[in-house]
Amino acid sequence: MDIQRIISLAFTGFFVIILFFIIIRSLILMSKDMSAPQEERENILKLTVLEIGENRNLRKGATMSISEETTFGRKNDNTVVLTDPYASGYHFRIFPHEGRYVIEDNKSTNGTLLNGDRLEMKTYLKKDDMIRVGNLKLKVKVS
Amino acid sequence: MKDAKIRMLIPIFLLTFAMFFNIAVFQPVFDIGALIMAAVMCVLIAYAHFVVNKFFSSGDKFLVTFMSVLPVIGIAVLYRLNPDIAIKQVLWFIIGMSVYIALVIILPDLKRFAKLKYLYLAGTVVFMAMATFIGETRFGAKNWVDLGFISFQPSEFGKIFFVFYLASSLKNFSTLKSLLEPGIIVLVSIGFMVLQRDLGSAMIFSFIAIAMIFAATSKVKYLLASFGVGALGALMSYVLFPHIRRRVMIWLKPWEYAANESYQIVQGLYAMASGGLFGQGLGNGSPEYIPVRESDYIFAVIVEELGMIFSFGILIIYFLLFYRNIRSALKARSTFTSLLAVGFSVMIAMQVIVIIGGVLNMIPLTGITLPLISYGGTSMLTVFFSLGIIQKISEEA
Amino acid sequence: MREEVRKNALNKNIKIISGVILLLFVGIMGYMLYFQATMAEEIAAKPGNVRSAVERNRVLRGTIYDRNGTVLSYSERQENDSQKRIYQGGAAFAQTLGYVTKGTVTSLESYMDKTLVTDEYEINITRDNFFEVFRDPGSIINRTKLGNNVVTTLDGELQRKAYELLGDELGASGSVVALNPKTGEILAMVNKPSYDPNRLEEIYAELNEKGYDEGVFVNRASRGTYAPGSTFKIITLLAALEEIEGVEERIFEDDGFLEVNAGNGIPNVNDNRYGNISLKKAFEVSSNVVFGGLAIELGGDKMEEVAERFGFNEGLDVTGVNFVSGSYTAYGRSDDGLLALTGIGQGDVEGNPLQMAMVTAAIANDGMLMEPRLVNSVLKYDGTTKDRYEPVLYNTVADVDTAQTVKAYMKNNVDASKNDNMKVISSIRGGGKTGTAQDRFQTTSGEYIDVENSWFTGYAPFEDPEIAIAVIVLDGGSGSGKAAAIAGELMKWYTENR
Repeated sequence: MDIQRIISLAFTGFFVIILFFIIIRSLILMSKDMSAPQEERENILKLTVLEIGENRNLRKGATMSISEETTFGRKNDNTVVLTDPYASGYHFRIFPHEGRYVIEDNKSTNGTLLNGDRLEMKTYLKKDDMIRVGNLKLKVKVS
Repeated sequence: MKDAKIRMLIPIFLLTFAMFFNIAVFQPVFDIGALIMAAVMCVLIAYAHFVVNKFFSSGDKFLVTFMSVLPVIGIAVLYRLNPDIAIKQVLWFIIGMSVYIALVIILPDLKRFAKLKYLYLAGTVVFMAMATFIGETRFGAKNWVDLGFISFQPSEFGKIFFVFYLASSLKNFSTLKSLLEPGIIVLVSIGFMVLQRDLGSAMIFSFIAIAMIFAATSKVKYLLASFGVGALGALMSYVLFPHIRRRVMIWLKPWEYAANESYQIVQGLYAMASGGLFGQGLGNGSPEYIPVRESDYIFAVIVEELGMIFSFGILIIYFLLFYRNIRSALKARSTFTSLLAVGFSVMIAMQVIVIIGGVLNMIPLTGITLPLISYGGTSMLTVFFSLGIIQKISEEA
Repeated sequence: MREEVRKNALNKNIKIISGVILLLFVGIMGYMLYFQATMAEEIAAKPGNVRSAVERNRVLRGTIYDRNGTVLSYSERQENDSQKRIYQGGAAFAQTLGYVTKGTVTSLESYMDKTLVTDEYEINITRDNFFEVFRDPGSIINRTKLGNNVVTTLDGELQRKAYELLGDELGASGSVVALNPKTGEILAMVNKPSYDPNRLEEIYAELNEKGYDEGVFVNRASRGTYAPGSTFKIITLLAALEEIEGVEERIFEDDGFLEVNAGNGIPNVNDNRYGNISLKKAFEVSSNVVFGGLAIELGGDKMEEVAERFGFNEGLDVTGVNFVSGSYTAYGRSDDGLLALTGIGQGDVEGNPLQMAMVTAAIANDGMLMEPRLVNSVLKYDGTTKDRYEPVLYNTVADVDTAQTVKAYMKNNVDASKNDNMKVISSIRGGGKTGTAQDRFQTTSGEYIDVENSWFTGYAPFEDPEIAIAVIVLDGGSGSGKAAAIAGELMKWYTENR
């Protein structure tokens, strides 16, 4: 064994340690992530269906639980599909932001009403807010 | 949470500086340039981490780490091999990272892009065919296009269009008939690859197609059918093309042809066998005997100089990268984006498996690059682009 | 929500795909482990692997000296940075020292290979270059890039003399081994026919064609398998003295032919009949009848036991030499024909000059067999001693009295002889034993011819032996002829000049 080899070996050993440190650290953090998503669940938005309007796939009085981005519209790939012809393909969406939920109109043809006023820009939802599209009425129970 | 991810930067910085310091110390005159490169890379990596963690924290937080570690290792080893090439790779790293960051910041919800099927189709065909018509041959494969100031591999860009196309055309899969069009495009793409003698890429395209089709259709029948077609195609090529027979021959009996045909494989094996668990040390090995050591065969250099254990770690990182990629696919909100993520994840993962398997001579050698580590601007760009898309998709959860 | 059902199916498929890819990754990782654990060492050692050559070339290979410091083999740096080995010793030392080529290293060069290619490093930090360290940390390490040197036990002049005395063709060619009985040092180990290692590349192809017994690369002095012939009677004699009461006073009847039950029986050389003789006389005239009979009387087990004390069958490790020890096969009395043959060093007995020299050396050294060795010391590039090899006792083959009796009988052999060669040995107060062994020689074409190998093994001087020697001249005829002549001249020169 000579000095040059020893120095090289020391460097390589150091690389190995750091690399595996990164690996193990990542694994630990990943597993922590998996066992603690409950926090997000706590922050659920609940909407009550007051009127179903022309949307035959919804039930009056039902409660919708929203925990992540949810889109509403006539197209099939919306999270909540509306059958009311008054609604646009992608009408509006509700998404979480910084712990609260935001409603945004997707430039729909006939617009979305929030508490009677036409929704122009993204707005935070709060308890008892009323959302209306055509004859569909949704009320925010918990925000 | 955020803190923890930023803390991951420290080991990355340590690794970067340690590797470049190792190289610098053994030069006749202490190499300041190496440390400058290390610093530049660290700054870029820090910025990327910062952007992802601070502004787009709903996305995957681990991708940035893995896609920083791998290029660091790659550039350090390239610097040891050939400082000029290393500098070029740093440039590509900067461009690639910028593309990634740009995608993350600028791209809106990817769902919008689901409708552009025919754009993707056109892009796929154009790029896959390009090299056949205006390309030149390098290393036996006609898949390079030289535009004077820049040269690139069009099939790499083709891969991106390919994945986008398949995702958009498979997302509404219903009947067998709807598979007709994608099926044709897949065959055409692979066909061009075979025509251009780029067998490695042909394999990768096959794997991407198989994975995406299976994911979208759930029909084991189709899976078996595509394996069948693939096996048939492989067999036919074996019979028809002498250069494929050669590849298989040198794979099975590398020692017999060591002087000529299997020289590259054998030199790679010698190099890796001489590494031991901890390698010869950066700068102490003899990579000059390994052909194509800066791109396809860089893994052999890494095993020789940094040892098996370190290389094993690299493989683990690649797998973790795949895991995070595929996780985004699982959490994606729409079929289109999910398929996109599947396509790109499989693309990167299979590239790793195919080239490392080839270098180890587990499977016949094909000429593809090791993602993020091998020298190659086009490859880097493609991978960073894919990771940018996946990062965007991971925000959907 | 069809979308959800589709999503679930999709996710399930994705998980399957991930599983497959996980398997592939595990497969690769497994293969890497497998590669490292089983294949790596073998592959790295393949001659095609330039790395070991590059590493070996980095250090200038060390020099091999004879015991007096004369250079025998050394290396020179060439213009293209490769090395060239110069074999100053020439053909006389060829098989013993061996050679070095790109892919092969043989004999002593191989045995001491690691020593010869290992260099020293020095760390020097002085006040002047202290600040240099920060600018260029690598500079404090000075590799000498010169391999260590090996000092052999060989006496260069003795070796050359032995080489000159042997001839090139069958009938004059053969091997010589000379030992220092008190220390085990190998003073000379020579083979002929030989070749000039400096011309190895040119003549290799042609030399390699010679096969079998005519080849020049094998160190027959230490690896040959010859029938020792009557030189083996030394061991029979020792066994008899130990085992048989009153054997020294016994009168033997030698009518020229030994009858046996199983086999053909053994005649004396030239069918000589000696009549009634003592043991000493029987040894002096080398009576096959007496010694064949003694072997039968002693029995195969006893003979084997004694032979093994000298290293027969034992596979002894000799420093610097790939030694093939002699072999003795014990036969039962029902195979008295074969048993008798072993008593006279024929039949299944095998030995080479090194083995037989060991026998004589042990006797000469009052029964103490010192372990033979070819290396005396290892020197650093600057000449300072790094390692020294000391004499080691291998075995006590007999008690002092018995050994001295055998030693005296051997002296009597040369004193009582009328043969000129023996007289030379007698004049330097030496002792010895001749041997005329019936053996087979295989030519390059593959055919076997019967030969009579001329053997002689002896020591000198009687009071304080300095040298023990064994000579074999292939198809040289009577032992008292060519072999004795060579042995005598060498021992005379050695005792007079050293």
